[in-house]
Amino acid sequence: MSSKFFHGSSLLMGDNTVPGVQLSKELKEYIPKILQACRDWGLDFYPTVVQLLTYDEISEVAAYGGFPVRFPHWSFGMEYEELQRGYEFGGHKIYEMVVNCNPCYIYNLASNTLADHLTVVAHATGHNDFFKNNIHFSATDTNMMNKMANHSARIRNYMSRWGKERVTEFLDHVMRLETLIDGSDAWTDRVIKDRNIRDERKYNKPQLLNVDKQRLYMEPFINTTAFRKKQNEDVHERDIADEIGLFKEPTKNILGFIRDNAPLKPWQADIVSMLYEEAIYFFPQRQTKVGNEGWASLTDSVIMAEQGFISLGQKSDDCGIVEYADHKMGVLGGKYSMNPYKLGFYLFSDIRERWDKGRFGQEYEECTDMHKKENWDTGAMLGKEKIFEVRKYYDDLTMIHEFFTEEFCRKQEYFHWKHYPNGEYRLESRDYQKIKKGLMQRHVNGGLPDIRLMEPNYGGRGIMMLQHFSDGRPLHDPYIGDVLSSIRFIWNNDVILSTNSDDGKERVYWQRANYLDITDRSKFDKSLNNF
Amino acid sequence: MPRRIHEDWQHFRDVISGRIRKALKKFIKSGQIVKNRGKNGKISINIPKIDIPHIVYGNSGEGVGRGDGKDGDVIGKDPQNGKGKGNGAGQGEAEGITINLDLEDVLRFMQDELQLPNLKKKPNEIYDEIKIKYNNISLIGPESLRHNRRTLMQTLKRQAAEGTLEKLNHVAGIKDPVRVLQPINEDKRYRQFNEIKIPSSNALIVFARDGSGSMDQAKCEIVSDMAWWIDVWIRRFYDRVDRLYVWHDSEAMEVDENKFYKYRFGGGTNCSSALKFISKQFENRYPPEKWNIYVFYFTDGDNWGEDNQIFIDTLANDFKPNVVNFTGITQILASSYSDSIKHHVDEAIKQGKLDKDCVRTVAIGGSPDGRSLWTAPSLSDDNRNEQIMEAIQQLLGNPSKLSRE
Repeated sequence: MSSKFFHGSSLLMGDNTVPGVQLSKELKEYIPKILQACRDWGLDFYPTVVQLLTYDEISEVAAYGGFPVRFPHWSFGMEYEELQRGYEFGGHKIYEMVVNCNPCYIYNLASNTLADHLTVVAHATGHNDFFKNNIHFSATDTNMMNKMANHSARIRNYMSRWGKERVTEFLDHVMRLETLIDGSDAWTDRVIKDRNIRDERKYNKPQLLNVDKQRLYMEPFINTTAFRKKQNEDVHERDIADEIGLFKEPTKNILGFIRDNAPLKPWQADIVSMLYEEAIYFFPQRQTKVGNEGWASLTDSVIMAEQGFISLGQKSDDCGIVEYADHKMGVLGGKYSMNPYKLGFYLFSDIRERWDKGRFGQEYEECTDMHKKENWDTGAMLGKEKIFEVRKYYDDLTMIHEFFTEEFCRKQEYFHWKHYPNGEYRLESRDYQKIKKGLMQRHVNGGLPDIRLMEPNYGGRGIMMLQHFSDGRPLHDPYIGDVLSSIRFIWNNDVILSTNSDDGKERVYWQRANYLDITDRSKFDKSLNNF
Repeated sequence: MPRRIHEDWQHFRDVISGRIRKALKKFIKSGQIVKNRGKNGKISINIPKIDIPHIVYGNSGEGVGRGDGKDGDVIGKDPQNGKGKGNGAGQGEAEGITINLDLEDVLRFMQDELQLPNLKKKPNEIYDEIKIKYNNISLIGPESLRHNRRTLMQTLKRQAAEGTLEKLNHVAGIKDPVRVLQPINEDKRYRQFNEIKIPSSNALIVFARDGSGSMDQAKCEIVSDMAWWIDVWIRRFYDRVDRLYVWHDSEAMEVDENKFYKYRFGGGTNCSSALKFISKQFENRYPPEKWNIYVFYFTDGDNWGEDNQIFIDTLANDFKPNVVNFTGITQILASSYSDSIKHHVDEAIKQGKLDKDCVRTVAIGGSPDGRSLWTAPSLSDDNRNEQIMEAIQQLLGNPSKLSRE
């Protein structure tokens, strides 16, 4: 990456590992100190590039998901407008953006104060460390910045070759399927499959009628042009059917399956594979939001507040701690709402405290004396070791499952709310099990419904059969039809999705060529027989 | 250097305004356009954010939050307007994207969808101003207006034809003989003025309404919406548009716009008083020779029994085609048709007392077939906007064409 994407703005070098970039005068002395402090505390991170951007520029980067160059699509323009409006009306403010790649780019809002700048760098270094060490990121491509730019160039090429309208329409369709992936494919997909090396498929040939060799002149009358054409088309269909025949077991990776097997033109297949790669890249971030944010918040709190680095360059009496506290409050605040930053930060803090005081293991769990439990302190001092372990091996789901304890829930005042038809949100209960179930449901499968491809050739008709494995929560109904029609467009055949509706009955969505059928299971079976 | 995001942003705006233009009819039916009355020729429409649809979980109406409070405490409410998703408690911010539409688009809609004809200005010759411009040539005139270049050109032509051009003359004060152009009277050309008549582009829109107690909030809103449409359309054809708001119960008075839509008083109803008041304005304030006058009268149809005849007489005498361009009478949610104003006016038009082109009547809601409604008439939202559109079409449309259909 070069600075040409950010015409005129200053590129700063973080820790002298990326040569040839000038440092800003104000931050020159301090940033390496912060990074060194992070390293001393035990963080292990990618080389850092700190970049100062105006709000307009940072909105651009944020709209593109952190990457200065993405393929052209209007949805980025929409995000940009929203961020701009949020800033103009004073509601929202982006302090920073961090990109998971090597070197790690940290974008700071140029109008931040010095204390904010340094806090942001410490915070972002926490993210940086998490990206490098957490196992869920171990399979992501660390050179994504360049890859995204290449995707952009390729898609721009297709746009100039096939027309912007046409390519954008196809992008619209594929982008709807971005959530239909399996995050774990980041590991398996790199392996080259056997069938790609030894292609043992039998080749289908057009089946023409036999013509007596003595009467070859009859050939154009027996195998007429129309007949030959139809046979050639049949070959294509049988090729597809053979491909589908390779399908072994239900898979979550619907987009990947479509990429490999849908009847796509080369440029379309290329676009699907690019968007698939981007979706796989973003998936671990979806999976580890709480942990990632919590870890970064903990890092900046340790470096800036506990170790006192906030006082760097501060001239006021309070050494900048008030400003730091104000900043922190903005990040961790928000009454009544579920703030992943806050949950993650306090989870990590709680883990640290518990392992420092030895509040774990059988003895502690089985202790029934509440008073004793409250003052439990064996002086184990294992907290730091434990949080580094958690940041390495846990994602949101496992982290909440293991460390969201009843004491934590009560201390942090979590509750379960319900929405009433009159428009009110009411505090329903403080039942620990219910809260924990609600929290964990939000993080299963990265917060996405578990939808699997059961059968790509349903009933021998090439119909794609999808099944939603429901945990009781209904799907967002208005979007189902849109997404299914997009799959129908790409797959070029009917698509069926069966799910459970609000009342618990099984409901079947059948996307036909022009319309969407929504029926009960029993009616569906009947109509399929008559189809 | 153009930024990439600006390209995407522009594309996004195009996508959205394309969608809006396609679905303009829907927006008009939902009344959104009228609600956000634009200024400076722009109308802002708030449309919900376009999501890229993904298969995601719906809003199950429960979740986890944190903070203090007892069981059953209200911790938040839905935002009042907008269909913002209540994802967590306390999201009060209105979501959506504001798009500015040109008034042109709305006007095109009125032209194409409602097929409104262009308004005709008054047949009698009203001129705003008569300007004098010297842009003509004449053979006679005062010497001070002589067009020297034309005159000499004419001389040159004549002398060339006569063959005297090459002739050398001795001129006093010049040593050598020279060629001379000598204009005679026939050569002389004079500047002449033309009258440029600038037709008047003044229009007066009179909105008058019945202010009796039965004109409730819903009816006033219909009046307000219709007034907006009428105003937009008429403004298209005139440079200068004045509006006059007249309100009446048993007596009429001029009010300002705000009062016009809000003022309510349970007095008697004397519809002719409004017409009389308006016609008085024509005497000095808005002389009909200089103004194109459009009168729109809104009522719910109830009138003092004996006043109906006076109402029609006033219409026939004081609102003739050479005085007003036309008069539109709108009857909103009349509870009974048989004795309503529209009924009487329609009768008068049938008998030929009133000019069909000059007086147009239309009814919104109510019972048009003559049956009396015992319950208070009402309209659903969709129906309401559709009926307003139809009413606009009848009022501003071509009456002879409509009656043929």
